[in-house]
Amino acid sequence: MDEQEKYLWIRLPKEIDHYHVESLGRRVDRELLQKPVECLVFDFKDTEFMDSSGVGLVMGRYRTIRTFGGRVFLANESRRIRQMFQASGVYEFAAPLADTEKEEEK
Amino acid sequence: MGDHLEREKKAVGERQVAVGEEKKAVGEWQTAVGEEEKGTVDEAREPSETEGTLVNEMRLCFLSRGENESLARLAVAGLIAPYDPTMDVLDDIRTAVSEAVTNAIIHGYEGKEDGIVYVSALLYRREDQSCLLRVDVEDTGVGIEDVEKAMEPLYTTAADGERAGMGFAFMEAFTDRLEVESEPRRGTCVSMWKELTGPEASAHEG
Repeated sequence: MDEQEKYLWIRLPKEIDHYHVESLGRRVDRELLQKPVECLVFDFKDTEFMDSSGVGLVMGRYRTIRTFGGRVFLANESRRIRQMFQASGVYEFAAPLADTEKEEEK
Repeated sequence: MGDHLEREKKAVGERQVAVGEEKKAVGEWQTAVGEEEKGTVDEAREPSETEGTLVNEMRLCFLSRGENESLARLAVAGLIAPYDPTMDVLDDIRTAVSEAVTNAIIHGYEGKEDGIVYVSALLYRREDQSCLLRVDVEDTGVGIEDVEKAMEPLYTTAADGERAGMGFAFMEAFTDRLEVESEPRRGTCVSMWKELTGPEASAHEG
């Protein structure tokens, strides 16, 4: 129970493009506003394709969660996804989840 | 209840009109393509020297609906698949195409789903067997007032805060050359070039 209130873990889809994440962003926002959590985790484990809409998704949620002091984490990003986040400055406000922490949470 | 039905009927009517216009638009486009091939020999000569011989060509047009973003990616990826691009090159192209098509849909047509997005892909092979891909993504939407500004990283006109403003930056980063032509109220054409393979690779060997 405690765990659930602390984390919101989002397992992202296989393809992250504007079409696939449009409603997801709104859903996560709604969830966050109803039940504020300390940590929002985006898990890219299943993601095989991502374009800049993935960057927009993370940035948008950061804007939501920072209003009540929560933090954004990224998990299981591929090399390519990491490059995109680096290029767009996402790591300035979202931290990659350390491997040990990842295991604990599962 | 009656009100609802009435609205639905109207919506269906509008949709039919839209479909009619679509057909016209596709027809116009085909004419335009034909003219291009006949009329601009001089223009065509310059790129063909650097681009090599045209070995394959694809033209695709579809409604400006979000689900077609993956269609465009798949189609272009399928076109280049026989040329054994590396996974990185394939991902670069899929991302760049996705960005351009998304821009056409949400900026060019402002999210309206009855616009038409045109994607053309040209595949060239040079004498040393290296291959070059050119992809054009075109819309006849609102156009861009200030292309330079639109191409700045993090700049976006989308008001909902969902866009990162990285579309053009990614197109630029993931291709070898990017050109954007736009005219307000007329539309936008994004052209991208990408080297596919080194000189040693070839589609029909091995």
